[in-house]
Amino acid sequence: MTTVYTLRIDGRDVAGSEDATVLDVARENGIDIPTLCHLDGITDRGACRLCMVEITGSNKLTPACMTKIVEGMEVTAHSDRLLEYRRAITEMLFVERNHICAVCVANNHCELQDTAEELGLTHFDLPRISPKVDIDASHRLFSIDHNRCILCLRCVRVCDEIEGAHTWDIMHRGLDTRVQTDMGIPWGESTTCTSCGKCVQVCPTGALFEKGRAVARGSKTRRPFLPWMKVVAEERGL
Amino acid sequence: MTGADAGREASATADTADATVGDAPADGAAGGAFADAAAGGAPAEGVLVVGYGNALRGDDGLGSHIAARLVEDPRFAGATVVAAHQLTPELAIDVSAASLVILVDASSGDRAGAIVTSRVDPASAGGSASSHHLDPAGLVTLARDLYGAAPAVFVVSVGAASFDLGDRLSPAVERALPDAVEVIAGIVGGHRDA
Amino acid sequence: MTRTIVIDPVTRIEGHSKVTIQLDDRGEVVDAHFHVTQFRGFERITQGRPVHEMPALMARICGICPVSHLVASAKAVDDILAVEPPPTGADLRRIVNLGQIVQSNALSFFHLSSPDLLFGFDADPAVRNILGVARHSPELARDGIALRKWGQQIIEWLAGKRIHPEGIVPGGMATPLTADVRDRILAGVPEAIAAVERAIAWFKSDMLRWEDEAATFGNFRSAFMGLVDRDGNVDHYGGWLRVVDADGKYLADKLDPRLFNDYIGEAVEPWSYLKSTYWKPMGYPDGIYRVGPLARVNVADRMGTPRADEELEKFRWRVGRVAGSSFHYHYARLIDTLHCVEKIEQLLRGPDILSKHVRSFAEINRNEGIGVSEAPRGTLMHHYKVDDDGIVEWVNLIIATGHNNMAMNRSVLQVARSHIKGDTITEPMLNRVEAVIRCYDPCLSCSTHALGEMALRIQLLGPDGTVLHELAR
Repeated sequence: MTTVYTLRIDGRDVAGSEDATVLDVARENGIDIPTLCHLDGITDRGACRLCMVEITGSNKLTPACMTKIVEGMEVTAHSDRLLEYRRAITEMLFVERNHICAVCVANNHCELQDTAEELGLTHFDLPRISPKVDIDASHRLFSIDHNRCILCLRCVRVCDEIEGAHTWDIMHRGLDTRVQTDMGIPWGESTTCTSCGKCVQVCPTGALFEKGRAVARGSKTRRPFLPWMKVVAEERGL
Repeated sequence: MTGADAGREASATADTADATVGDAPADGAAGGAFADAAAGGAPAEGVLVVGYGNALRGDDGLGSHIAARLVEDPRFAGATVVAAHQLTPELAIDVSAASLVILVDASSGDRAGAIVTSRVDPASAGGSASSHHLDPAGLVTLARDLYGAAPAVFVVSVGAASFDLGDRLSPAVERALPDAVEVIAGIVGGHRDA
Repeated sequence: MTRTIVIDPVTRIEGHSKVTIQLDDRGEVVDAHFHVTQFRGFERITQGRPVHEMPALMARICGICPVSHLVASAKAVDDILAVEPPPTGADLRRIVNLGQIVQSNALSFFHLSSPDLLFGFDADPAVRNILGVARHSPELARDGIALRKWGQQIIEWLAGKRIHPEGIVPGGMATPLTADVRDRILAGVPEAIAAVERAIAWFKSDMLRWEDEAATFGNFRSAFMGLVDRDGNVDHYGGWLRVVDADGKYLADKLDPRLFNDYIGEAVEPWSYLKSTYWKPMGYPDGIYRVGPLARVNVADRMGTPRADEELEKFRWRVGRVAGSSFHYHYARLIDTLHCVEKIEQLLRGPDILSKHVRSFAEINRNEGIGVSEAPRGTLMHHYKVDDDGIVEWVNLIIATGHNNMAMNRSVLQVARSHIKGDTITEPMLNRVEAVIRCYDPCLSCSTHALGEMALRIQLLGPDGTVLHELAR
């Protein structure tokens, strides 16, 4: 039998089962906490740091997606300080690579863009890094433009957990961190990739896209398949 | 145009198909109408607001920033809100269809963030035209001479700090935006009550 | 001693430029240059991008003729994909392209040039503008505004945003046409035709006033180039290149536009960022040719639509089979516009125009592609090279104003010689120099529109570069 815990988020009394995260409970109760790496159907990773919340009694910020609820917990999901942090984090995601919304395949279908808008990020104060970053268009159907990658690692997780191919992984560290296919070989030469396209569907930005899509035509409409596939996988004991 | 706001077309009004914030027409063509006149009885029926200026020239872009705010504001329901690069002859058609016209621009003469309202009298307006854009009096004159229109016309200008290349506003102008919206709302309210 | 008069920048054209006129000791004009002083480097910044992004990137070259770049770019990518858009997709692209030409031609004629034609080149600039036109001839001004609006709506309804539309994609169109949009465009056709025909009637009734200008505004022998269809009609979207000489003799016909590099050379002059193109068989600078509305009516046998053909016939009675003076760009532009309106109607009434099949799909099949179409100002050529993955490696663009570069320089020189005497320059002289450039409606577009008024400066420069005399308005 699952235990139900009660807690407070932004002053509201809410409840959730013992294995739920703060993010799960907040969402169930209509409390919107921004995130770019969480996706229903794949495990959480805490990669984007946007869902940081304050927990009374702790002096550090905690990612809501990685924090299991505890009885009597007091969570602050929205405050001026948190908004400031989330804006700064989003700004850093932008300046770290080269995001040119106006000519991006994902324009108007982009979670990074939506997040910036929701957070009221109207301009950048941080200097742009403007790194020289590659595009890998060697795959027959898909391309990755690292200029637009925010390292949320959804592609890595979906490829491993749902497709079971584990084509995607990460390489290097710090500013040089990149997602990679197989052991850093061109995507088109990957022997593990099944060309299923799930990575493209889960990518929150225009980093992964179907070849041939024109600017602003890259909407990702097939995402709801994920939780369903996860359930099937679990039922089969995979 | 790097960045979420500037790059995004139809930023604040994804539902309004023809909105064009942040992509003001470079040839001075009339910008997309954000919100066309809705059903009768809306609070700002018959009102045309044109926020104009070059969105890539610092504070010159404040017109489109204000336009984006007005679209979200229920007090402007029913108004036609346009973000434009310049005042162009085509806008005379929209002016002629309105009973109240408010033109929002950056000004270089005033203190940064200072909001100045002036009125243009359609009957006596002269105006000037350069290559293919107009000043406010010119636009009003054109609407009068071509379509016999005589709406009430106000110019709301906000003092600019910088016209340097870039898609962001200076802090002084950014701070002045809410006040500018209030000034415009006041003009609309006064017009409706009159 | 040589002195130089500088007109900087030229007003009432799209974009920025300046003119220098060199005088000798006796105050006679010895040379003239039309300088394009801005550089944008799209050929460089698009390197490394996936080729499918090119149409949208290229549309951003310009807020004046985005559709033209979109069309030429999409055709170049079609070529790389080795794919033909479905017939309806091609027709929809044609309609958008024609809508663009209508609105751009209307801007050129009604907004920018009609003040000169209505009030004369000597008139006070305070009157000689669109407001003066509105006061003096409100119907003319209303017609210009209405035509421009109609053209812009076509672009917006078919291709998305008017300024940087995205509906034209490699392989065809992103979305099919709906009956509602078709009917809305068709509803505007009678008014659009009436507007152009009124302008043509006025121009014809008034054109004798401008015989002096017609004689000196770029009146010289040159070749002309434009696209024609298989029947020799004007074709703004596809077809073959035809090049005729000053007598109308074919220098080339049924030329595959994709082979343009074999026939067109590009020369670079130190005083301009704009390359000068020339007809290779005749060499540089003898291979001077013109493109744009005047070239289109000169190279084609017919326009291919009834009303425009009727006007073309009258045009030829008045100015000859091949009109040599660039002043006639205005007249040709009106006939071109009339044809575009008629052609849009014809295409919209086509039986398959509402077909849902508007896009073809293919992978990268070639490493090189060329797209050629007629932009408002003339033939536009996009040439790309890509790697096997479709990443852009090399880009070359030849724009209409590049084709016309030599002709514009020659025209400025001719006008300067006949209107500028001594070392002072008057307003009417100045405006004639500008007006001859406006005949070509040059597109030097750049997103950096000046704030406020574009000042007009004229400088008399000594050989050491010191300013001897300066005038400003």
